[in-house]
Amino acid sequence: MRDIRIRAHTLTCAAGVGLAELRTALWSRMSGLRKNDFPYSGLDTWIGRVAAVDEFRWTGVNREWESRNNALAAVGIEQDGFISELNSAALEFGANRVGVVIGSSTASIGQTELAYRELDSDGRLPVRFRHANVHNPHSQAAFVAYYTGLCGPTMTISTACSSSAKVFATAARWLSMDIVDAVLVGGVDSLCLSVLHGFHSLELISSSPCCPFDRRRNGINIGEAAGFALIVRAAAAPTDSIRCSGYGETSDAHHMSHPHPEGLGAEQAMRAALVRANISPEQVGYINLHGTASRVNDAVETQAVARLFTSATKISSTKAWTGHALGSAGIVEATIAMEALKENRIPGTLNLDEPDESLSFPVQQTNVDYPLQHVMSNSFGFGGNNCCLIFSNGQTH
Amino acid sequence: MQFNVLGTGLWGPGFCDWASYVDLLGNVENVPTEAPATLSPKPDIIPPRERRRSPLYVRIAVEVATQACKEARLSPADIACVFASGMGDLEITDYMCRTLATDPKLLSPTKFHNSVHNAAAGYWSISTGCQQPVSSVSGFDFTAPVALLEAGVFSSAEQRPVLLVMFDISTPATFDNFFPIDEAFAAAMVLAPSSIAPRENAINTRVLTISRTSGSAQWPALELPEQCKFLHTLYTTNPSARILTLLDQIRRGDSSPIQMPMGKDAVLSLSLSR
Repeated sequence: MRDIRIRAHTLTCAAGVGLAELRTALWSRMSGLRKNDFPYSGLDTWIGRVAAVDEFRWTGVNREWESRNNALAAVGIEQDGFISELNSAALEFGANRVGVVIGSSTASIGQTELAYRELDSDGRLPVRFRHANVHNPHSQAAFVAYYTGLCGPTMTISTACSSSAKVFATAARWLSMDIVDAVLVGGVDSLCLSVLHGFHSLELISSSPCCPFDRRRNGINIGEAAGFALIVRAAAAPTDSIRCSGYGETSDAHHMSHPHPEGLGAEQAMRAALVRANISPEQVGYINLHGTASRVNDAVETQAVARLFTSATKISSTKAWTGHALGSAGIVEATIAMEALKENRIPGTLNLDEPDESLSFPVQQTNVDYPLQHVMSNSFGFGGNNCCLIFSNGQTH
Repeated sequence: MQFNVLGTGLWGPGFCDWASYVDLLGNVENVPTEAPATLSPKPDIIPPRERRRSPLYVRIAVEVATQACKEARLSPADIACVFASGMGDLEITDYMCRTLATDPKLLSPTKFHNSVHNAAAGYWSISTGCQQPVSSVSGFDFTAPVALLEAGVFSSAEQRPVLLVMFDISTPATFDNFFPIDEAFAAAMVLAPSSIAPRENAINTRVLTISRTSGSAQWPALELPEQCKFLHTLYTTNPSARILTLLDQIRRGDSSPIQMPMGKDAVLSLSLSR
């Protein structure tokens, strides 16, 4: 595939606001999870909450966009000097030559939930909530375009937990077909009652901090995050910038909320990404797994990995740092995989103290220094929607 | 970017497929002024157990997708898809928010997994055994041009056919005073790179050229009989029905260029030829 580069990126999640805090958390193995304290939820679980969102003030931003998700997006995009990177890109290419593609599964549904607590006597949304901009699935991408002033084509991808992995594939295609000269990709999903109670209704929520691949694992913790990356063709990026070198998108065609029992769709996604990156499985040094800590996902995902990879590849999940950030999980874990690539260091799975011996592939427990040329990140969503990404060291090409 | 339109599917007020849409508007003297009722579709392709649980939002999408694949004579299992909706499943949004505001412990797990934006895409891939790349997108009011761009780029970049499905249902009472959509609508198209020829007797076969330009544009008016108010209303309120500007040109055999606004400084330019 065409040489596509990550010119800048940033991430805000429970494990840190901005990349510096994330690195500290990863390399010192500090989890961002806390006991559930999300208003009105009342569930016995742990969550990955970004406290900085609660301090966000809407001064200077049109309140028609007010929602927790948009506040999270605004906090996130301001980190790591990312806004000035966007401004440079807008100057260099023209604001209308920079596309905006954001993955989100919840959009601003949290704001709609709040509005329904105060319906007026006619059963309609109260006046202060009547803002069409937030009560629709496209609210994040539209807000990000508004907030940054970028005005190229703007689109939301919403394929549940693979949403913000697929944004990289779409960006690569938009660049290769010359629709734009740069793409601001991102993923933003915030805590809300729909997902807390929704996953609870499916009996997938753990009442303790999640422990992926552990024999005691009993479910997920929900998290929130906002991650962004500026993607350009190789000519517009430094030669040592990270390449987005492969993507694989597949469907399980099996069940709305259960993965394929042998992980067939997951395996096909990884194979497709390897083919596109034109590398062999042995060349992938690290896979950041979907690794949700649900009984089924972790068993199935290791089966799929075992059919493709050897012990040359280290695998781990970082969900115990961040929680499962759902629609933003793709970019959270793509970012962590890129951090691993930059530092030649792999974050071992936090909270994995008693490995599940029945799993088909050994999962890295401790942080380890390991030379990396290519890293992979897996994201799987409801509806059997799978996306696998490969990032590669820029200098070698 | 240039494509062959290999098949189309259509469902909305007064029509349940392409032929009935053409019939509805074919006889100018008898064009209805009020939206005729259309039976909600029950696409056989969804297994019966799943069909009972699948909401209207899913069924209209699957119905038009089936029509388009049939006309294109392509197996649904082999075609990558882009599903698009401006507003998502508002009936489920209404159910979820109402339940969460009153008794969250009663939330139905089935309704929750149906609440994902890609529910229709998921049911489609499960029902047809489609393991191809499937996306699910939104652009709010600009959903029709944005989804058309996304599907077109996918087809051109990957050099393979793509099934594009767009669909929006009516708004529940909670929203209708600031975002009214009266009628549900769904449309589908199978687009293929010019290298893949359409079958000879395909009725809607046209060559579609699209390009992305900057600047601004106004939505073109629909050239429908004036008394057909409900279709004009559908077109201006239902984000997916904006695709009628293109589909109705196919019906009329009109090949004048179209511009669809796609944002503050983005326009999708389209033209049809035989």
